[in-house]
Parts: sequence; structure tokens; C-alpha cells
Amino acid sequence: MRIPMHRFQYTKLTREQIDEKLQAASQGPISASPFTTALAGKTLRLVLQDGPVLEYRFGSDGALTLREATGATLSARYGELTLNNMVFFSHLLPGQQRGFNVVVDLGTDLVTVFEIWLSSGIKASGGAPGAPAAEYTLDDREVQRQIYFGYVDKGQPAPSALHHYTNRLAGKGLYWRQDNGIETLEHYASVANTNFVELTRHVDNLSYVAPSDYVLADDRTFIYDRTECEFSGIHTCFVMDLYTLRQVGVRFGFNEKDELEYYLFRGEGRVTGQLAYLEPFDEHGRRPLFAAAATPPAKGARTAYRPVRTFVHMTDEEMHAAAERNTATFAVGEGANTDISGTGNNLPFSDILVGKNFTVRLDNDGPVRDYRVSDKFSLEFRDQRDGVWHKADYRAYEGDDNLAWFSHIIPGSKPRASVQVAIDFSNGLVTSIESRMGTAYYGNETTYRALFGVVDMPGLEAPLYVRHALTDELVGQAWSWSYSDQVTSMHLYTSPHSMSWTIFTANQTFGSQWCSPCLYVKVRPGVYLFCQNEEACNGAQMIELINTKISHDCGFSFTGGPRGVNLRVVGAIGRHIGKFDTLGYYGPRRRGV
Amino acid sequence: MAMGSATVHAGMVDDTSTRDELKYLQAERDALALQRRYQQALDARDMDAVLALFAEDAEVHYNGGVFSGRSEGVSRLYRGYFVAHGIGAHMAPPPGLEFGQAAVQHVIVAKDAHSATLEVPYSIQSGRALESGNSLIAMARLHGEGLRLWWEGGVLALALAKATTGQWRLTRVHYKVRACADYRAGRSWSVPLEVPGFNACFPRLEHGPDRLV
Repeated sequence: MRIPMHRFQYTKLTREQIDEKLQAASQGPISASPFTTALAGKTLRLVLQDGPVLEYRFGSDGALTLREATGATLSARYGELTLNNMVFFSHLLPGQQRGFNVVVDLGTDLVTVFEIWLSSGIKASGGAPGAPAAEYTLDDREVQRQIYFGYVDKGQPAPSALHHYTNRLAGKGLYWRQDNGIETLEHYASVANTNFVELTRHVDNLSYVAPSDYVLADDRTFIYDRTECEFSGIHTCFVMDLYTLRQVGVRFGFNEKDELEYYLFRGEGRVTGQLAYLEPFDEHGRRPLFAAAATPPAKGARTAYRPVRTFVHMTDEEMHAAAERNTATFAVGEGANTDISGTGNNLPFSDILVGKNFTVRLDNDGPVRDYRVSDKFSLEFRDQRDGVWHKADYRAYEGDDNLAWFSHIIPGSKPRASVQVAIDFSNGLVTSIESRMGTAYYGNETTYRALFGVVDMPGLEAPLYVRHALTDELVGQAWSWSYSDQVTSMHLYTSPHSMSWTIFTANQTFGSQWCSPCLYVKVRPGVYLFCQNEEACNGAQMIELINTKISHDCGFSFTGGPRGVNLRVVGAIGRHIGKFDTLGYYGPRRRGV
Repeated sequence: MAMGSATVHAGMVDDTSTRDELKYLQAERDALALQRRYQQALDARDMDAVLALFAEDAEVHYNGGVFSGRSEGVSRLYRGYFVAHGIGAHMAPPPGLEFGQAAVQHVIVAKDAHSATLEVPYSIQSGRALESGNSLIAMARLHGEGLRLWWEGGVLALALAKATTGQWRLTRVHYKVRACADYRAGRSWSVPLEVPGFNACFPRLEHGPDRLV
């Protein structure tokens, strides 16, 4: 698959279509590994806290019967795989678009049960910042889940402790290879999400975010699930043993081809790293992450970021008309956004360009721009292609010693464009992030590209061959960025072309999370440019210079919408949170072998 | 911000019979117990328990707004505004403010002992959603954050009445703010804050008041 998951137009499968497709699962799940038979011939009565009582009877031929507390006895086919003392089994209930994934600990008789279902009809709401919330219904193809903790009732007193939610996996990264060849990098950089990379299914190794649950069975054994909400809606659920780095689990749902995937798997893994987690030492993550509310979360509720649901689509022409009405720069002008939540910890503006005349010459027939700068906040430039001098407001930082980092709008541009330029006045190298409004999908999203070149200036001899370049040196690293005392986001530079960001809760637990494509440029040792576009989200672009030597970034944001175009400044104090050793999984690979 | 030594005054008492004295003392005790249950329910974030303490026609004055009716405005305040913004739980005052450490409790019981007013110091966490177009704050709101939190102290003025069932109910709650500070537990410092009151009503403001004062 080469279309990014958040760009893929998944079919809105109807309940009836799902009914039809589920008939393929009438014989239960499949598995590349042989099923185990630990439960064959047994009966289990599962008592679940705040949930139903499930009475199972397992045959010797992959069949089971289930009687729920008040219901009739139903027959189904199941698949089972064991891992140490854990038995994992999964089944659907014929005709109900519903089923269960069950983890039974034969050593303790404790159980964790995932009730799963489709065509939920669940209504959710959300909205762009500052806009009224909009209500929408979750897609029928999105697998829902409700987790119950309980025990096998053998007539013994109820146990005093059950499996429970946990933050013990927070910050951990794992590589998994399943018995069917599927490889995945999973970064558990949230207590409610996973930032994962499909190394097998997707050709670009972009990382995506899916809501997840993390359950502690015992100190070596964890139970996990993720549901690819806002993508295909498919659900992955497994038990992992972190002593032996093995997993058994299930994948259930519909892929991008609308094919039913319902299979059990075994897998082997490798720990790729561990980020520091910053919550108090007495915080154990026993409660799932939900906003405080006067009523308990409804069945199936989860904290899922669904930004595109309320992202307003604008055409290129609509966007440009808005830009013509208002293009605001650096919180100046009508309609300018003066919100300082992204700037409170910024680096100061610099006069490093004042008094300089220079030419930025970008390679491969890129733009050649002459600059005359006599002021700290305004400059003149001309593109040698048309020779017309323009005045423009700009802001500049000295991002490292004698390294200028500045931005301005290209006046009169259509689509509206801006440039973010790093000029190294010690060696004459230049990178220009050329940004403009519009993507193939939305007029009000932004597009960027990095162009490399040199600066011509008296007294500065720029190289002929040496250039700034795209880099993967940041890949695997996580940095928290505190834009102000109220806003901190952790960036995980997940792959060479993508990243995720995680919002901390008040006690600094990893919370809400989302992801985007990005690029990284190495400017100097320890100094990088980072650019991301929150595509299929809000279309905003962040273009930062990261100076790891001072743990600080500084830069710009470029956005557009019905109110026009905004070029703003943004910067933050950073903390290095850790690093995953994942770089070896990326790069061009021979496929199909 | 010391407020004097703790005292209890019974007022409007002109019947000096022992029976009436006992009746007033019992009313004082009931009023103080109700106030304690109110704060305990807020500390537990049990808004159903909070609302159960109110009379149906009660009103609450908070931050320049009036919330009317237990099942309407008052419910909106506690189940909506307080929950969403992390407001109401007791919070020790910032070091140096000495707020509430030696404060006056005023209880005035009506002559018929069927209503009373009560004033006690309060010291709570307060907060408000950050107003921003920043998408990071929108994400934080998903898990109930994206808040500016602060300490708030003042005098809590309560009016109570005895219902026909014989149980005391809150008929009016008024948070009289004396001070706010940028402070959280564990910090050794605080910064005084000016907190603007409500500037809009429900429904324009979700969870907002019924009217402004």
C-alpha cells in the first residue's frame, strides 16, 4: 500500500455488507501456526467485574458453546494459542457482528476479556479549536471493544486482585515479526495510543497512531490492543511475554481492500528502546485515560483523536480568495492570531541579517533570490526570475552561532507561499523550506519541500559540492517541547519520513497522540531543521530549527483556512526523553522475498 | 490572609428556653455538617452527591455568574463546568498566604430554626479551559486537560432550608472570591492572579451561567 493511511478513502461498509463479509469467518479464525488445544473438552465460567458472566464449553474440534448470563446458549468456532500459562482464544458469535477475545491465565485463573463488535452506531463529537463541536457516527467497520477483568469461577472466593490497566509499557518500543511474516514497529509512547509502523504492509514506513489499551497480567506478561480508528478500523489484540519477547494474538477487521482479516498469530519481538516516562512514581496507570466527566464512560468509549472529521474542506480557489482577503504575518494585521501558547518559550528574534545583502542560490534550477536587509523585522527581496523587488515582514533567529533562520511570505504568490531559510554564514550553505498552500486533497492544507543551495555574499566562499542534506539522525529520538508553561508536546521522530506528537496529562502521563509525515535536514552537528504538515488533520505546517546543544527549537508555523493565511512564530524548550534503536529497520528494502 | 479565630454565632435567637436552644444548636450542627458533606462530595468529584444536597429552586453564585435550579443551572455548573475545568476540590493555600488557617465560621439560624445561613472560608483548586486555536490544546481537551489551573480562596456563603422531609438542603451557594494565585501543590512559590468573571451565559457559553451579576 502506497497511499498514506490517513489519505486512503476507506469504504463506508454498511451493516449488511459487514454481515455478508463475516460469513467467511463462520469457521472461526485461521492461523499460520497450529492452534493449541489447552481448553478442548473443558468448561469455563468467567465472572467479570462490571460485566457479564460467560459460561464456555469447549469441544475437541474447535467448536465452543457460550451462554451469557441472561441469554441462550450459542455455538461458535474458535481459535486458541497458548503462551506460557496464558491461553488466548478468539471467536465471533454467528449473526451478531460480535465476539470475544479472551486471555485466561491458567496459573492464577485470572482473565481479561475483550468484547468486540462492529456496526456500533456510537455517536461521537469533536471540533476544530474554537469551533462548535460536531456530532458524527463512528464507521460501522471500526471495531469496538470493551475490556472486562475477571476470573475463572471454580467456586473459590473471588480473588482480591485482577488484571488491570497499567502504564508499565509506557515509553517502551518493540519490533514484532508475526508467524505470517508481518513486521511491525510499535512505540507505546502513550497510555492510550500506539505509534506504529507497518514495515510489511506499507511501502513508505510512515508511522500512524491508533487508540490502544495496556493491561498488566503479571510482571512479565502484558495484554494489549489497538484499533486503527480513522483508518481501516481493524483491531489487533495480543498477549506478550517480555521475558521471552513472544506474543500470541488476533487481528480482526477489514483491511483497505475491504477484505476480512480474522486470524490468530504468534510472533517474536525485540525491545527497541525505552523512553523516560515522566508521571509521578506513585502513578501506576490503573485507570484508563478519559476526560473527567460526571458520568462513567459509555461501553466502548475510548479517547480517540479524530481531527479530519471536523476539518473543513476548501478548494484551492476558496483558499486563495481567503488568502487575498487576509494574509497575516507574525501576529500583525487583521485577523492575525495573537495566541502566545506556542511562543511563550521561544528564542528571541535576532538582528543577524541586518545590514547584509546576499543572494540565496538554490540548486537544480531552484529559485535564486537577492536579499537586502536593513531592519530587524522587514526586508527586501527579489526572485531573479522576475526581477521584482518586494518588501516583506520577516522574523529571524540565530539558531546556532552565526546561523540565521528566518521566514517571510512571498507577497502576491498564488497559491500563497512562504519560505523558511537557514543560512550558515560560517560556510555559505543554505536550506530553504519552500511552503505553499494546497495539497492534492485540500486547498487549506500546506505543502512543503526542502531545497538546498548556497548563499552568495562578499567574503563568503560557498562550497561547490557540499550541501545540507536530509538526515535520519533524529529517527528514534523523542523530545518534549514546552511551547509555554501550559502547552507541552512530545515529538517522537518515528521514521525517516514521519513523526508523532503526544500531549501530556496534568501529571505528565503520555496522553493524546497523533501523527504526520515530516522531513529532517541536518544543518550542523546537533542542529537540524524539522518540518511537518498535520495533513488530514488541520493542514498546519510547523517548520523548526532544532538545536540539540541547547535543547531548544525555534521556527515558524504556516497555516490557512477560511480566515486567511497565517505565518507565525513558534518555539519551545526541549527535553530529550529517550531514543529507540530503530534506524536499522528503515531504508530501501528488497521486497517480496 | 488571616481571618481571625474560629467562632460560632447563633443569631436571631430571642427564645431562651432550653428546648429552643437545643433546636438552634442542632440546626447549627446540621448546617455545618451539610457544608462538610458538600466539600467532601466536591473533593470526591461526586457531583451526584453534590446535587443531592440542593433544594430544587437553589441557585449558585460563582465567578460573576448565577446558576439557577438544581436540575438546570446548578447541575450544569457542577456536572459540567466544575468537572470540565477541575474546579472545587479542596486545595491547601499557597505557602505564606496562611489562608483559612484561622478563619471564622458564621452560622445564623432563623427564629423558626427552619433556615440558616453559613459563612466559612474555602480554599480550592480552580481552573478554566485555555482559549486557543492551538490544535495541541484541542488534543489535550480530549483527555480533559488543556486547562489553566490555579488556587482560589475566599468565603463560601451558604443558605440552607429545612425541607418538608426534615432534611436540610442548600438553597443558595455563593463563592466570594478573596484571592487567586498561580500555584499548584508542592510549589514553594505562587503568583497572584486576576481572574476575569464570566462574560457570557448559557447556551452561548457551554456550561455557562443563567445570568451575570
